[in-house]
Amino acid sequence: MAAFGTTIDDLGAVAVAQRSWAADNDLARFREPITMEDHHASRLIADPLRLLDCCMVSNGAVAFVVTSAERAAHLRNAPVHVRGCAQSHPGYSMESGSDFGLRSGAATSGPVALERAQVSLADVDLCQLYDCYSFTVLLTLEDYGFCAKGEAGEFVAGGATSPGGRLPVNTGGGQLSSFYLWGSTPLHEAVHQVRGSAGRRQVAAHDVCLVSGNGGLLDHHGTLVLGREAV
Amino acid sequence: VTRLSRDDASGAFFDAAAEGRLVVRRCGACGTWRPPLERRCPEDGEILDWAEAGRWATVVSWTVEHQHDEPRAIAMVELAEGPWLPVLVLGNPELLEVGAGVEIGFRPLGGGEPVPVITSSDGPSIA
Repeated sequence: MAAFGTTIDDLGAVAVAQRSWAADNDLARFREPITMEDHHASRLIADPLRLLDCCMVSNGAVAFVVTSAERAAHLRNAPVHVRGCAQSHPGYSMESGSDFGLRSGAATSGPVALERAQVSLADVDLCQLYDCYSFTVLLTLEDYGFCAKGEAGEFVAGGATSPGGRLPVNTGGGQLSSFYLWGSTPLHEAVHQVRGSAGRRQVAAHDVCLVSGNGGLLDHHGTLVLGREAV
Repeated sequence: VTRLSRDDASGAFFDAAAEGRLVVRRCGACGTWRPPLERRCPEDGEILDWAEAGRWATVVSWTVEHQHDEPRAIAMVELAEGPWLPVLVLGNPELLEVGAGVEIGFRPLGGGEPVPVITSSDGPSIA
């Protein structure tokens, strides 16, 4: 916030946008719409993060079946292709000059994954971003390059990531609103969207989906590019 | 307040803290100062020594967590030598400013080990 001017409203915009997606997800735990006022009124957890900025705790199970494109072509469901992936492990040192919390591994793993997927940022139709906190979504959008540093809040508040927006993000409600299964939450939603099986919340353009995962204190980052067509 | 206990990795830190001294890590080979939780120098792989740092620092960031009976303010400060250190804030954290100079003291928590603290302008003296 001190470095890039991110505001409480920027954080709240993420929570509100994701809840609006969750309304159409029968698996989502929290589906009641929320407003910016609801966000501001939710109790403080660790200032500036409020309850509605934090992922829930839940149990569940999800499985992904991985096979060859040749084998998948004969299965009942349309396959989702892994076009590219990359990892980055910044391993922040807590000392002078550290960009801990300001820049994540998305900045390095994103471009590599996109290159391997043979697509550009402009080809990405939607994103499923790891959202342990509202803040992480803003950081990841900026580090992938969808927005300049400090501008993701305005991007989200303007509706770009909400239903009907030009870059749908966390279309099942994410870990803030649907369910908390670590990296499986964004991946599960990505498979449904790319496959076209997301029901009432299905987005119109779903050829290429960018999926992110974080671990540690932002020490680890993984980017996955899924597509309807193989590379 | 949570009682803090030592382990093998933190004993030297708390022994020094009990004497009002702040020790962090330093590489015997290249002389670079490192944060107290690091074990090896990322530059040349040497096991890091403990070394006494000054108690002057600047505020990097802080938060107030509300998970206990009393809200608790925790700041990250940057020592003059470079490493960052998490510290407990005495006094009103709203009076802290990023980049402001602070002095580090020590306070035992709940009868446990002494932890590094700073004080905001309305807080108690920690000298």
